[in-house]
Amino acid sequence: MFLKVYPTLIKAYWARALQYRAQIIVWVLASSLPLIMMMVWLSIAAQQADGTVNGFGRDDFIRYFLAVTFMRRMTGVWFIWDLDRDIRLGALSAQLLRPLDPLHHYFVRSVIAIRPVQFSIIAPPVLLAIWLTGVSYDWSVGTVLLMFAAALCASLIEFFAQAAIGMLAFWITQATSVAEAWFFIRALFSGWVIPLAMFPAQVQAALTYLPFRYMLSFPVEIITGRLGTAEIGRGLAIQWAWIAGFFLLYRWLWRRGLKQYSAVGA
Amino acid sequence: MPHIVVDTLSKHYQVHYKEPGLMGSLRSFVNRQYKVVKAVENISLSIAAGEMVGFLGPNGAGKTTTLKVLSGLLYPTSGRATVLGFIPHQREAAYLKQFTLVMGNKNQLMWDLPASESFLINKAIYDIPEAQYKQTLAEFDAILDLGPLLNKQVRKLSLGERMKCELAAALLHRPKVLFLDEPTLGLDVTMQVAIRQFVADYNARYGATVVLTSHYMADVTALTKRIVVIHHGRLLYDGDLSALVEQIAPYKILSLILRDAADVSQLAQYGQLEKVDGVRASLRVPRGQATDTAAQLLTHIKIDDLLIEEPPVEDIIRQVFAEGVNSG
Repeated sequence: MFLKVYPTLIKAYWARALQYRAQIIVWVLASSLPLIMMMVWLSIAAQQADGTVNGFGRDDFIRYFLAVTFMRRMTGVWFIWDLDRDIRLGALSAQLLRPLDPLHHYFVRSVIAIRPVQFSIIAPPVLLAIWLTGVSYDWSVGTVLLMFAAALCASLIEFFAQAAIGMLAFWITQATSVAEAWFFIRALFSGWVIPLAMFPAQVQAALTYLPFRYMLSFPVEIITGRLGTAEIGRGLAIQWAWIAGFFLLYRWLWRRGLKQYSAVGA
Repeated sequence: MPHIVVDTLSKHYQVHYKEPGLMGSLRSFVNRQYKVVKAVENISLSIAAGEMVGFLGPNGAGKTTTLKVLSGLLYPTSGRATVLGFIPHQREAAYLKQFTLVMGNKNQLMWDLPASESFLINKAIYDIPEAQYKQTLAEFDAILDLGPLLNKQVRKLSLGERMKCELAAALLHRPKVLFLDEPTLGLDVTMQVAIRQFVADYNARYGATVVLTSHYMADVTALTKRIVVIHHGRLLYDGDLSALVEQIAPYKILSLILRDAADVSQLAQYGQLEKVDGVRASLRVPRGQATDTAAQLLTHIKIDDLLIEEPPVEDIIRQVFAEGVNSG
C-alpha cells in the first residue's frame, strides 16, 4: 500500500523544499499580489458615494483579500512544469521502473510536503495584518475545520487538473502553454484578483458549477462567513465531483500516453 | 526456464522530420513530415537465469531500445518479450520489484539531496526489510566504498562517485534481472574496473541475470562470454565471443621485436605483414599455424621478443558492423 511510503517521501521532499531558500522568498513576494489588488479595490470603494462596491465595504475587502493571501498558499499547486519536463526529456523513466506510481512523487512534493513550509511562512504575517486591521472572521472550530477541508479539496482539484494537462506532454511539445491558458482563466475566475461577488449575476451562476471558484474562493467564502451550512455542503460536493472528473481524465490520458511514451534521451 | 525470452520483437518510432533552416521550420509547421525509424527489427533471443550477456552495437543500433522494451518503458510495435514470465509493459508491481535498469547517462537519484535519501526512498518503495537493507548496503559498501559519498549532495559528487551511488540505489532491492545500459560511460579506467567488479560480484552472489550494453569492449570481454551484436535494429550475431573471434578473424597476430631492422621481403614469407616500424613488426598468420610459424621465425630470424596475440576485439566488431556475419 502506497501510504506506507508516504512518511519517507514526505521527509525527503521536506528536506528538498528547505534546500530552495530562494524559492521561499519568491513565494513571499508572489503572495503580495492579492494585497495590491486589495489596495485597488479599496480605492475604488472609497470613490463610491456609499463607500461600497457590490455590497463590499472597506472591511469586507480587507477581510477578503487577507484570507485570499493565506488561502492562495494553502491551495496553490505547482508541478506541471516538472511533469512536462519529465515526460518530454525522459526523466519519467526512472520513476516508471519502480513499483510506485510516479504521480505519488509529484503529489507528496507539491501538495503535502510543501504545505507546512508555506503555512509557517504565510500564517504569521497574515495573522499580524488581521490583528493590526482589526477585521473579524468566523473563528469557530467547525468553520475553521471546514475551511481547511475545502482548501485540501481545492488543492486536489488543482493537482489533478494539472496532472491531466501535463499528460498532454505525451503528444505535444507545449503542454505548458495549455497550462498557462488554464492559469490565466483560473486567476480571473477563482477570486484571486477579483472577488466573485463583483461579477454579474449570470457569470456568478455559471461559476457555481465551474471548477475555478472551488480552487480558491470557496474556502475564503467559508472563513469570511459568507456561506450557510447548505451552501458549504453543496460546495464540498461540487469539489469532489471535480476532483473525480479531473482524476478520471488524468488516468485515461495516462494509460494512452504511456502506450506511446518513447522514453526519449538515452 | 530462461529469464528473458524475446520473440520476433520490433519497435518502430514515428519521428517528426524537418529540413534545416527557417524555411524548413515553416514547411514543417504547415505540413509536418513523419518518418518511421525501425529501432528494433525482428529480434529473437533467449537468456538463461544467471547468465551475463553483452549487447554490442554502434550508437543508434537499437541496444537501448531493446532494454527499454524489456524494462517496460516502451510498448513493442510487434512481437513479444517476457522477463521472469512477465510482460514488461504491463508493469505489474511483482515484476517491477524484481528487475532494475541502470542508464549511465541518466540520473535516478534525487539531485539536490544526499544519495542516502534516495536509498531510503527506494527502501520504502520496494518494501525492503530493515535487516536486508543494512546487509545489502554493507555488501555494496565493501566493494564500492560508498561510506564517504552517502551524505554528500548528489550534484556535488563526481561522475564516477555518482555512478557508484546510482548502481547501489538501483540494486538495493536485490533484483533478479539487471539491465545495465552503458554503466561505465565517461568513467576513468579505475572506476570502470570497480564497476565491473561490482557487477561480477553481484552476479556471483545472487545468481542474477545481467544484460549489459557498452561501448567499452573491455566491459564486455571482462564480464560476459556471450555477446549479441545489434546493428540497424537487427541481430547480427548471438553467441560466444570467442567463436565470433574465430569466425571473423581466423588468424592471430605475431608481434615481433627484431634484433636488426626488418627485412620486409623475408618476413612476408611467413605471413601477411600488418605493420613494420624499424625493429618492430607484426604478422597476421592463420590461427592453426600460429605456433609453428612462430617456431620457424625464431629459428631463421634473429628475434629479441615474440608475442602471439588475439586480434583486437574492437577490430573484429568493426568488421562485423561493416560486413555482417554468417551466424546461426
